[in-house]
Amino acid sequence: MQPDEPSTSPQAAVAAPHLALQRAQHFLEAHRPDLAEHEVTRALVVAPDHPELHFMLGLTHSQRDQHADAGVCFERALELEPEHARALAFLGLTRAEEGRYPEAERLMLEALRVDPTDALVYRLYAQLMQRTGHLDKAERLHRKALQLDPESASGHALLSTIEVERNRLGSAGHHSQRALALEPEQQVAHISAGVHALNSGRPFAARRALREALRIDPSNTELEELWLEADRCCRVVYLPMYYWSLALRRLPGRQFAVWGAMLALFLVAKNFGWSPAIFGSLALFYAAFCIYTWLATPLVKAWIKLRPAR
Amino acid sequence: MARPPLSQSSYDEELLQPSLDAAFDVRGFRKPWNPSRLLWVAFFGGPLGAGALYGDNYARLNRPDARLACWIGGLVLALAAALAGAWLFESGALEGADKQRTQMFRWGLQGGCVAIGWFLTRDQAKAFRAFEASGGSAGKLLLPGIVACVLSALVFIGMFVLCVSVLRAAS
Repeated sequence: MQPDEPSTSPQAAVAAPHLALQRAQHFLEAHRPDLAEHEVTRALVVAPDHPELHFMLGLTHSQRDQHADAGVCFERALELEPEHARALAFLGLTRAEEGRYPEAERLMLEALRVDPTDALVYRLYAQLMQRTGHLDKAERLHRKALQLDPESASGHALLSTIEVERNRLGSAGHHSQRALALEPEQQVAHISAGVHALNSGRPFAARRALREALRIDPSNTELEELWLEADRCCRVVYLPMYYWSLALRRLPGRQFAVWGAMLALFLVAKNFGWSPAIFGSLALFYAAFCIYTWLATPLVKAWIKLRPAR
Repeated sequence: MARPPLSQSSYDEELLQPSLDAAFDVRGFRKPWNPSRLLWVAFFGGPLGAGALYGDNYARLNRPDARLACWIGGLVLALAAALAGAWLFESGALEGADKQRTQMFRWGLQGGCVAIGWFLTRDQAKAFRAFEASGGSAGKLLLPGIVACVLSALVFIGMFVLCVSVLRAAS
């Protein structure tokens, strides 16, 4: 029997739960939650009150975005073992998916009270903080997780995405490169490299990294959308809009700062008697560029229909 | 490399304080608008349009207390701006062949509305982000935005004319 095949023999059906858990964990890491569920379900027939099996079953549902089913499994694991820190944290994650964020946070804090040394729980709490816009706290939680587990590729990758959001591209690049060095075949490491490249003015490198991430798990629809966005930024007709958007993101007030600058220019031109030809040309260029920014997205979408992404 | 001791320092304790209150239970939200898009309403619609839509967005984000404060604030600011504009008009400060001073007054009002709108956007942004992260889709703002801008412009002109009349009657 190959390691990538589910166990089918009668002997395997009564295998110790820990073997089933190991195989299920392997299948989850290979993005095969269906096979992981098969392993766990067979083991549950033999050991129906094993909390780890219920927890693992919940993880297989989580990976397929079946959050309601995942929640039921985590709750069952907690009935059997109330101090199961990871079950608490992942139950918090399902609550977050349902929009019950205060309850999600309460569960994660409870998980950290039970086990304050689990880096994964810190990372899950950090993701919750990131989802709710508490970026400062999310960054500190990720750093705490890395303090506990410095060799975690996903830890570095997730911290990189937060640093990108906070416009700290140097630090983001460092952490995404560290993630890739630790786990070159991990999807989230390539995603973080792609996100960093996309926000650093390197759309072609971003497209390559995200394509590599898609190769690892082609079923990830959110990743596919991100890759398509990177591809859009690589098209000639959209490139000026892409670089303009990047520059605008760094301006406080964004488009309104540009409006303010144009106003100031208008006042200067009027008060210092600029030649109408010069000011007129500038105003015309600005107007034309505004029109281009409105048309850039529909233009590139039409172009992509003619030349689809590869 | 040796790891630092995992003692519960004050830094750790601060990190483990809850940050999400009841305002983050997005199940009560009703298709809120993207708060950053409301800045355009502040720019084009002035205090009345911005106050109305920011207030309505607070209601959509399940914060009805903030909605009332927003509406009242928008009304007060519009009244103050109409009164200030009427006073400047009556005193002759807004006259001039190049209309520059009128433009400056208008730009100042727009800039002020956007600046206030920026704070309201920051206040609404986290809850909206949590809503989107849970799979929620934002409400469509185009039609309400246009209606708010047009109506607020008309009402503001009416307020301005009324203030000018009141100032003339008083003087």
